[in-house]
Amino acid sequence: MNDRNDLVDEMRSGWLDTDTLDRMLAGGIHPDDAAPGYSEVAGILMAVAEGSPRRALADEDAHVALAVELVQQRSPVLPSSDRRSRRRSRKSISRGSRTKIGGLVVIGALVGSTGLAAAGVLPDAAQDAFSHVLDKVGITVPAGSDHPASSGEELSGIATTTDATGVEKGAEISSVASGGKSRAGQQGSAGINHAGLGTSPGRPPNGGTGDAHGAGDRGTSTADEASSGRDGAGTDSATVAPPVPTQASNPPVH
Amino acid sequence: MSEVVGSSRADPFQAWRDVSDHEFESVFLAARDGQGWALSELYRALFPRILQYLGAVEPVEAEDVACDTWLDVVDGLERFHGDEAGLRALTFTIARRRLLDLRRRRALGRTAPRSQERPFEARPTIGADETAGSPPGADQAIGLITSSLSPEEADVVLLRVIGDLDVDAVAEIVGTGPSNVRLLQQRAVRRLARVLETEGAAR
Repeated sequence: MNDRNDLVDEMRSGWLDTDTLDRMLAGGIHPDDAAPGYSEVAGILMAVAEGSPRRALADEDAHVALAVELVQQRSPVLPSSDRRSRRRSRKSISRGSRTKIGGLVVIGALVGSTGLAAAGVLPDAAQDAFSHVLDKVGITVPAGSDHPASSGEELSGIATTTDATGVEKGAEISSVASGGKSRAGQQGSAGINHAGLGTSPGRPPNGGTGDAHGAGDRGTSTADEASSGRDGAGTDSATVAPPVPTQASNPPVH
Repeated sequence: MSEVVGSSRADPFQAWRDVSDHEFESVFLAARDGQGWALSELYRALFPRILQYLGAVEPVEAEDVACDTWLDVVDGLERFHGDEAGLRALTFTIARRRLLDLRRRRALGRTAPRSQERPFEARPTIGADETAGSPPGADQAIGLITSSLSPEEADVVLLRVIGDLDVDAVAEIVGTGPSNVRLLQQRAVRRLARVLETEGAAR
C-alpha cells in the first residue's frame, strides 16, 4: 500500500503528457483507464463532456424559427458563381458610368461657362479670359471691362454725383447700367435741343441753357478727375448745349 | 441549468462530434440558405454546449446570453469559412464576448463598488452523502471545477471540455498564448486531483 501511494505521489509530481491530458480534457479517458491519482479527475471531466442541460433544447422550435427569419431577412444567398458574375458586371457598369458622367460634367461646365460668358455675367477676370479665348474662334463676347454697372451702389453714386438732370441724367444712368446698350435718352436729346428754346418741360426757360452748360462742364470735370482725363463723359452734353456764356450768378443746379 | 442529462452518446449534444466534414458542409450550406432542418441541426449541435458553458460561468443570465449568441452565429454564417471546429470556436468566441459585455454593463450600472466578485457562482461540490464510486453528474462536476479552480484555470478547462476546443482555439478565445493555456490546464488537473483526494479522505 505504501508502495502504491509513493507511486501516486511520484506520478502526481510529474505532469501528465500532452496527449493524455488532451484526451482527458475531451472526456475521452474512462476513470478506470486514467493514470494513478487521476481517475476521479477523469470521471469529473467525462461527466462534464457528456452531460448537457435537460432544458437545452426546450426552446429549439422558437430559436430555430428566429434563425430562419433572420436568414430570410438578409438578401437571398446566390451560388458563388452567380455572385461573382453579378459583382463583375456591377463593377464594369460602374466603370463605364463613371467615364460617361465625367464627360458630361466637363461638357456641361464648358457649355455653361460659355453661356455665362456670352451673357457677360462672369467675374471680370474670368470674363476677360473667356472673351479672349472665344474671340480666337470667332465668337464675340463682352470683356470683363465692358461690364455694365452691376451694383446699386455704383449707380447711386452716378446718380448723386452727376450734374445732368432730367432725361440726360436718366440716359446717363441707363447707359452705365446697361453697358452702353440702352437707347434711353435719345428721345431726350431733342428735349435738350429744345432746352435752349425754353420749351423743355421742367426746365426754367432762361436759366436752363446755363444750367445745361454748367452741368456739362461740371460733369466733364468730375469725370475727368475720376478717370484722369480718359473719360469722355459730359463732352456730348457740353457740345449739345447751346454756347451760352456761363453766368457766375447762376450756380449749377444739383 | 440545475438538471442535467446523464452521459449518453445518443444525446444531441454529441451529434456534432459525429458529423463528418462532408456532412458538415452540406448542413452548413443549407443552414446558410435558411433551411430549417439544417439550422435545427446546427442548433442541436451548438446550443446545448453554449448553454452549458454559460450556465457554468453565469447561471442567472445563461439562457439570454446563449440565445443572443445563437442568433449572432446565424447572422455570421454568410461570412464564415471553415470546418465544424472553426464554427465551434467562433460560437464560443461570440459567447464569451457576450458574457464580457454583460459583465461590463453590470459593472457600469452598479452604484456601490463590491470588494470582490467571484467570476463563477458557487455550486455544490460532491457531498459526503453521495455514494462513493458513483459517477458525478455534470452539474456537480461543473460545480467542483468552478469552486476548486482559479477563474482562469476553470475557464480554460470548461472551454476545452464543453467546447471540445483545442489548445490554440482556447488560447485565441481567452486572449493568451498556447503555452499559457497548457500551463493552466496542467495546474487545473493537478489541483482537481488534490481536491478530490482531500474530499475522498473526508468521506
